[in-house]
Amino acid sequence: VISDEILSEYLDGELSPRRRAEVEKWLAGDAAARQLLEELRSVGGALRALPHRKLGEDLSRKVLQAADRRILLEGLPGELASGLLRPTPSTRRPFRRLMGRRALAWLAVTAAVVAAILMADWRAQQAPMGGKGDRQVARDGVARDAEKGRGGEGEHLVQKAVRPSPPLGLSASSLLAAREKGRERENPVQSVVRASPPLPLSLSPPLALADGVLVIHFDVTAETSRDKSLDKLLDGHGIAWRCEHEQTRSAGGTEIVSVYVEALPAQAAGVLAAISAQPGVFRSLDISALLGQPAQEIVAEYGHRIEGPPSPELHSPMSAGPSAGPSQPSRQTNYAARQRVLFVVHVLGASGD
Amino acid sequence: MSELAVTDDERLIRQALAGHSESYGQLVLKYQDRLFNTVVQVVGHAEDARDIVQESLVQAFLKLESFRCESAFFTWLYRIAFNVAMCHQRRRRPSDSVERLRESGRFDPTGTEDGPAENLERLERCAQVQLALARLSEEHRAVLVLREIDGCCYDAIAEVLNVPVGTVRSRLHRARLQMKQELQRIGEGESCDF
Repeated sequence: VISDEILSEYLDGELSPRRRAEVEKWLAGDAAARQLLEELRSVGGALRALPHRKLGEDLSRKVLQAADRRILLEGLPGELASGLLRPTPSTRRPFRRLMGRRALAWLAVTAAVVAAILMADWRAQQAPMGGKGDRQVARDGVARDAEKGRGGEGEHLVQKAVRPSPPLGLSASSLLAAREKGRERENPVQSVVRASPPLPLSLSPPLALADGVLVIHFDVTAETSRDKSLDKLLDGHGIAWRCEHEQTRSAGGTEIVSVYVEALPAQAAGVLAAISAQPGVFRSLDISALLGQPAQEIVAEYGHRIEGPPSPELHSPMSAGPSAGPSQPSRQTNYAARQRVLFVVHVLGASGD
Repeated sequence: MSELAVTDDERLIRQALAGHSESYGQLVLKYQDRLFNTVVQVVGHAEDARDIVQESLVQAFLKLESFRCESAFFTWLYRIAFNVAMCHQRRRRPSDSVERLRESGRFDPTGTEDGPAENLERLERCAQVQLALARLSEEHRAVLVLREIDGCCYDAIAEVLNVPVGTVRSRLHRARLQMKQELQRIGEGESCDF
């Protein structure tokens, strides 16, 4: 007895020659089986006649950006809940530990450092964020680059005057909520770096309640690691270290180490300005705003992105500037291997709460 | 999938795991349209299919180290995509009318050399096929799309859907029978001959 189920296998060429011969013998003597076979064949033909659909866009960049974002923010909510929302005494752990471990294993290897700045309870009387000198350095560097027309025709980097910071609200819950949404189109993450033209920001009226997170990517070379540049930078701005998150995740061949620190708004903005002003040290800077206009304002002030080969002279938008490091071609050797650091700066209110 | 293609995929995967994320970008570019064409027939909405494809590609990247190259990358990617799609489908009711299907933008009569009348007829025929497809259960729709539209063999379908090959065999036949019935039902009501 042959089940009609075998007709599907016959249609699909999934039968052995012997079994196929048996089915053909059965079909020769059974008109109903032949009719069913033709109907099944017709079903397949109708489906195969459907128009072939294409996406009409290249998803590769979006996919990689989304994956990066997922990697970087994956552990953030839990950490925020356990760390940022329940303040604990600062447990400063030198970044050199992290760097030393990396240096041993990843000589001449690039680390991608990511900073997420959580804006919280930024009071109205808070001093304007960022050291003026740092901002000026950053603006000068950006201006130099813009004048040089580097990065292609019509492309210029963001230049925007900084206004006194508006009062901001607590943002942790918003961050958690945003992550829960999970869908990029619902998540107002904006890769506004490499902005051209400048962001359509409205700075007035001042926001009474707003919040935001900045996600900052930059690469650090092994030399930079050994120089403890980030360590020095944080020390220079008096930023308190909360903890180093020991968990090291790995995804897509990239190791991720999380570091959380606390900073006052001016400290956080100062660090951001300093990072922006040292493209020879902190390369491939990429600043994105997550949740809220104030974060976008900071991006508009400091954000820029450099693409292209990871050589210092090609990578830096301000390579001709005084802060650019000398060309060191050897740095390119093992550039593909990366380690990412999730660097979260909890921006505290003026009273330090 | 050809031997050469598999080898090429493995090379790109190794490069991506070594930190060359742009190699994964090449894999995305290579498979995104094929995956989209399959997923859009399963979920029935182009915008949803686009989101599912993107999410699947992101998940695949994040899980890339777990891919053992024991199967084709595309099969592995399909498995992720179908899991994402099934989760997505549980949150959405299937389309239930030709008009809604048409409004959803699933049909693209452009690019044909048919005249307006032929184009309209073709559009209507496609609408009926897709309506019948939408009326199938998720399991039947998935197995049918994988076989008839994407041309997967039984072994690949079994891997994608994570079921035994015997289940693929019986499920595919039942899906065809149900599809045949739905097409007849729609055809009788809308004078379309299948």
